[in-house]
Amino acid sequence: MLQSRGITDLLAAEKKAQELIEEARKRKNKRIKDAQNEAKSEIEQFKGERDQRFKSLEQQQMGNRAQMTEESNKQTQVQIGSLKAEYEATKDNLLERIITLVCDIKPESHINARIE
Amino acid sequence: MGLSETDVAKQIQHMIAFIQQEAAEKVEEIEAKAEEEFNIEKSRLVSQQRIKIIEYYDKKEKQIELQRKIQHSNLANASRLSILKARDDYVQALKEEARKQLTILTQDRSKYPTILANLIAQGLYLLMEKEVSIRCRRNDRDLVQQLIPEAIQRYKQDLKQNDIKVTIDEKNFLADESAGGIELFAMGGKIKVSNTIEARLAMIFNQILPEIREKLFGVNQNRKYHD
Repeated sequence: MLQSRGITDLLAAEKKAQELIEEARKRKNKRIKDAQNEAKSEIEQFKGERDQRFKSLEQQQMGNRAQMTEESNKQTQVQIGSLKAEYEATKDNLLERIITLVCDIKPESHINARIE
Repeated sequence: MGLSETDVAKQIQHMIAFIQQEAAEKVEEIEAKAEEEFNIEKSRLVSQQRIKIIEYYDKKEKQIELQRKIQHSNLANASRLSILKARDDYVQALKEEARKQLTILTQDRSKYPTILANLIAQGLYLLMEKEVSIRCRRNDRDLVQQLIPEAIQRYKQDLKQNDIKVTIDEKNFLADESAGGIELFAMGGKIKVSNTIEARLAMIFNQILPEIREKLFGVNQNRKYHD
């Protein structure tokens, strides 16, 4: 009788031990599954940060774009303006030269046709 | 009988204790392993995705940079083109201004006849034909008629030739708004010498274009050879 009680106890202890181990295994598997979820949320956060960074860069770029265009146009106008000044300054001289040349006509017979 | 009851009970207690301890150790082992595998798996997943995300955003950032460069280049091109266009506009304006001044000049009765006489003579020398027809502006008709004999004289003297007949085309005239000068025809209109003021202007203008450009816009910095 004592023996059987002792064996029952042992068996109970054995069974309990198995249960504990089984539970531990279940927790382990859950933990490994958790890894996926936690990894996912960490990744999302990282992605969010990067995206933020990118978007602000994009915004900045948009702003620069408008500024660049304006700057370029302004410079172009300045250069065109200085063209006008140059033109007004030199045109009279050039006109005189052109007209002189146009009016300077030297009628000459062909050298091979001249009878000396 | 062997062992006493207490001994047996003690044995059994020991065995139970042993089983429990074994179990506890096993559980601890499993939990440690669990933690370890959790960490490995998590960092594997995170770094795997991290790499992809970094690559993705790097590429997008490069594209933005590329867009910026493209825009910069386009702006530079557009700027260059509009400056070149403006330059060309001024060159054309100069030509037009010259044309206007020349037109006015042809009203000057002290200068125009000399010019016209020279143009006629030059035309005759170029053609060297026996029968020449001259086309002029309606207003210049009488002036040309006056100058023809002199031109013929010049021609005959220089080339020792006698046969030349010069007439004015009474059917076709140069446009009244044109700057003046004459066109000469021979062989029934098959040979033409365009000695109009406008033709001369175009020719001379083109010839001195390099000089004009240099005076208006300065020496070209990009030009490497000047000879």
